[in-house]
Amino acid sequence: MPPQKLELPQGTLELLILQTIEYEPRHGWGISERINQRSDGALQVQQGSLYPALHRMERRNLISPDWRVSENGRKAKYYKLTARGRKELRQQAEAWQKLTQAVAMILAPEVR
Amino acid sequence: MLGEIRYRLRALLRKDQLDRELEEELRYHLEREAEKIGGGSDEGDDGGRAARLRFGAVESVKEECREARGTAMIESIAADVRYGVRGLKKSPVFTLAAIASLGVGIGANTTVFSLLDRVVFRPLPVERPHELVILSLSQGGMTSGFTYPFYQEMQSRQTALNGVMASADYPVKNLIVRGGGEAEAATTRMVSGNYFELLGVRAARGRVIGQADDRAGAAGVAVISDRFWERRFQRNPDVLGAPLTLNQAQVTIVGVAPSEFFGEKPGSVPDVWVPLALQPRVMPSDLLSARFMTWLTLMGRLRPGVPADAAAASLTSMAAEIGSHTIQVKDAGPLTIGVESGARGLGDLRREFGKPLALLMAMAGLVLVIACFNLAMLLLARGGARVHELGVRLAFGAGRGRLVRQMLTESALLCAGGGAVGVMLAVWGGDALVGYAAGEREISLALALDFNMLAFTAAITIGATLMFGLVPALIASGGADPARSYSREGRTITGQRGLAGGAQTLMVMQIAVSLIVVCGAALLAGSLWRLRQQDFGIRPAGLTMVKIPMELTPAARKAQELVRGPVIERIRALPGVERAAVSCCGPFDDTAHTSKVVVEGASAGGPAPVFVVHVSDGYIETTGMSVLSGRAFTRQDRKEAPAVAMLSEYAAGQLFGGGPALGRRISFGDNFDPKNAMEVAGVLKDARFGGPRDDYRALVFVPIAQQPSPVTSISIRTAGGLDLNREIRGILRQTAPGLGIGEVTTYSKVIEKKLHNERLLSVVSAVFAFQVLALAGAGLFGLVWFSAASRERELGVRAALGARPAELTGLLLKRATGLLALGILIGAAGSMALTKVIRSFLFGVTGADPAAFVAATVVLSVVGLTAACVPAWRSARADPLKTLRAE
Repeated sequence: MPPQKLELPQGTLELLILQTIEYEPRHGWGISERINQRSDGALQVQQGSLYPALHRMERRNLISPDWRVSENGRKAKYYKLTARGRKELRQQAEAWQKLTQAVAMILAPEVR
Repeated sequence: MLGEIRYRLRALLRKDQLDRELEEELRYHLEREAEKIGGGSDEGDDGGRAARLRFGAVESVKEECREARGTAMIESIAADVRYGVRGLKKSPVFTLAAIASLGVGIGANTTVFSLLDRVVFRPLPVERPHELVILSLSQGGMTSGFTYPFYQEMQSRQTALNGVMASADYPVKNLIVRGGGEAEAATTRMVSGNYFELLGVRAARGRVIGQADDRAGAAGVAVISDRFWERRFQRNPDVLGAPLTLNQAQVTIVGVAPSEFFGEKPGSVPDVWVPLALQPRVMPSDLLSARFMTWLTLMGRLRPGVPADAAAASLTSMAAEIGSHTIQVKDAGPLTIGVESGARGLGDLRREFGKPLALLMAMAGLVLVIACFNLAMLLLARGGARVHELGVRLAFGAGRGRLVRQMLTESALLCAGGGAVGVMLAVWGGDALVGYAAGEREISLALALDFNMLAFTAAITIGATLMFGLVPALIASGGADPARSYSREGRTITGQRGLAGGAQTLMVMQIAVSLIVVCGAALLAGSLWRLRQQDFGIRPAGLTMVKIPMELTPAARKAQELVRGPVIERIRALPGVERAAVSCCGPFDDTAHTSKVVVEGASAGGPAPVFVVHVSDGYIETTGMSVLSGRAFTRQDRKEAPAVAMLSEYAAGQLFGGGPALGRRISFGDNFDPKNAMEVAGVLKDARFGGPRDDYRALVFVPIAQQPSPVTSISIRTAGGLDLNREIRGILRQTAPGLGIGEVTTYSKVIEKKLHNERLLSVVSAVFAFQVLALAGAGLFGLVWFSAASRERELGVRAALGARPAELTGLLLKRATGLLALGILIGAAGSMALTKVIRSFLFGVTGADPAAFVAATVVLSVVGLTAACVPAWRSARADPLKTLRAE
């Protein structure tokens, strides 16, 4: 198991997935790579939990599957946002912002 | 939400494809990961291995992904179902027997229920039926209909009701239709102008009767029913505007009612609806102004938010105002108006049918209970053989809840099969039952699959599942012991006492309830037999009855006179006819003429109510009544001859006590009238005139030549029961043209028709009894079979030690006989109680009916013992060596 730099808080994986495919559909490996890159390697998605999350989200109709030919010329399962997923993304992102601000406010004096 | 359901459905139905896709998706990931790491992407390569390491346990991720589809629960149920189906397939005889017996139980219930639903529960096919109320008028405890003046007065006022309509099929139910075919009697309902509007019924063709049609002097109109349109006009569309003669009144057909509309009286479909205003033109007296004739039925709609009792109170106070000048009030106290729900229409059919149907429903319920007992018993007995399997499953860590669920799934499968068979039986048998139940009545209540019926079936199916599935499931899972399942004892010991004891208790209960049902069927069959075999006081065999519909117009009266004269002479001259006579209000012809009669010089008692029967000469001989004393009427009892009368024994007793009747003088009315007095010429043996179940009536016979009356029937005695239908109709058409001709039938058929409800009860309960006997037989067979199977070793040992097959058979039968005896004992007590409950349906039974009880006991014992003998005998003959070798 590769060393893990930051533990993802409960429930944030979905938010990250939604955010990652906001503008373009990606396949599972692409999503995990993208999260890794965007966080400068600070966030490493546990690959074992990525796929169950994707399937759960597919069931809830937040994302929909789309089989396409990938950048290396092979067939791969891409995921794209549904209308419901887009709404969910907005709500979750907002909630996340509020939460982190609140947590930051509580933590701020002690950091100083 | 919908999207999710669609996803799960797809996940369920296309599981394999999704699994393949998942496989491919993960393989793609691993390859890309391996490419990134470098060093070959195959599983054996370094890169591949590293990628897998980083990924984690691939199989468990796959499992998690499958679970994420949200179909795990459904899939585990599906597994239960598959497992259940496999288990049932292993014992096909048991499965088929279970499905068949449940199907019969559920089918019986569904069939009877759908008839009950139609007759008793179903609202009228009109707009907002639940607002409809039926009004009744009562005074001094007597309930009646309403007079026309009362209705008119009520119409002109604002009342508690949102509209009131009137209708009547009284005093005359049938009008004679002429034109466009032979003269025939048509069931007619006279209705107020707002009738169709208030019910919210539109015509299927043409228009309905409106207010303008129901005014004095309005042109006569009629709306005909779909059936009548079919019967008389072969659905000819030109019928609109066609003329129709109803009892000599000319009317125009303006519309055809929708086929599903049968009026407000379930069970009787009118042929013709006419406005009340037509009444004076089709009957001899004008009832529209009569204050004494309470011939109308009133129905209305409740105003929204007004409760029925408030409406009744308000209508009663209105009746106090208008009653005195619109109804001839007897001095019997104030008038009250009652309001009851009319959602289901007028209740003649319900009154007549409701109780027999309730009895059948109860019996059908018992059949289902028996089927459930039987299955639960067989499941328990079979469960004895499954204890080992259950123990193994427990040992592998299955929860008891899971086991119970598994066993319930099995029951549910059987029930679903039984339910499907039941619905098929109900659809197939329902029409037959409705047809049979309707008899001559017009229940145009087509039976088809409908929501009520399906809901009912589903409910009893679920109930049955729980009833026969849950108890055995709990007992069996409780009795299974994982530790013992691995020992030899776990397989063969008969001591799963919970199971065996449970099965035996259920068997006893089943036999007890079976005896009650069989006994009920025997009681009903015995009653029917006695009703048929009783002495009617007439000899029905070989007696033909020609019904003449009552029509009181002058032309019809002339034709009636011809019937008494030339028609009867010509009929008597027909070859094969022994005797013929006419009567008014003879036996079983559904007419009755009542009057009061006084005896000359009678000091005490005053006038007594009697039934008056007008007969021609030869009537007594034709019908086969017997003269006890004096003489029957002859040709000499002409108009000019001294007036005479005959009395039935019952009437003679009522009028003269035990004293002599012959030669005494009587007259009709409240006071003795010497001018119209009659001398009693003869006394006749009592006869059942009303019907096979009616009490004897006080009958006074008078010669129709001396006291003219319309003729309601012609009685003809033929040699060997000839069918003279065509000849008689021919004679009537030629000799009395224009006379309405009713049915030509036989007295035996009329009696059978009157025994209709009894026959229905008897036949259906006999069907139930057969089912119950088959179930009891199957139950005992199964019980002995399974018990023999679990005692195989013991039997083998005994046989090896020299026990003869007969002894072994006896050993196996001993317990079955005991159970049978105990069940019969308990059932006997139940049957006694049953006899009391169904007393009103029985005839000629006082207290208990030992014959029926003995018959039921014998039949049940024979069936039960025979069924038990077969497996016992078979097991006892099994080769002991084979059994022991298997050990």
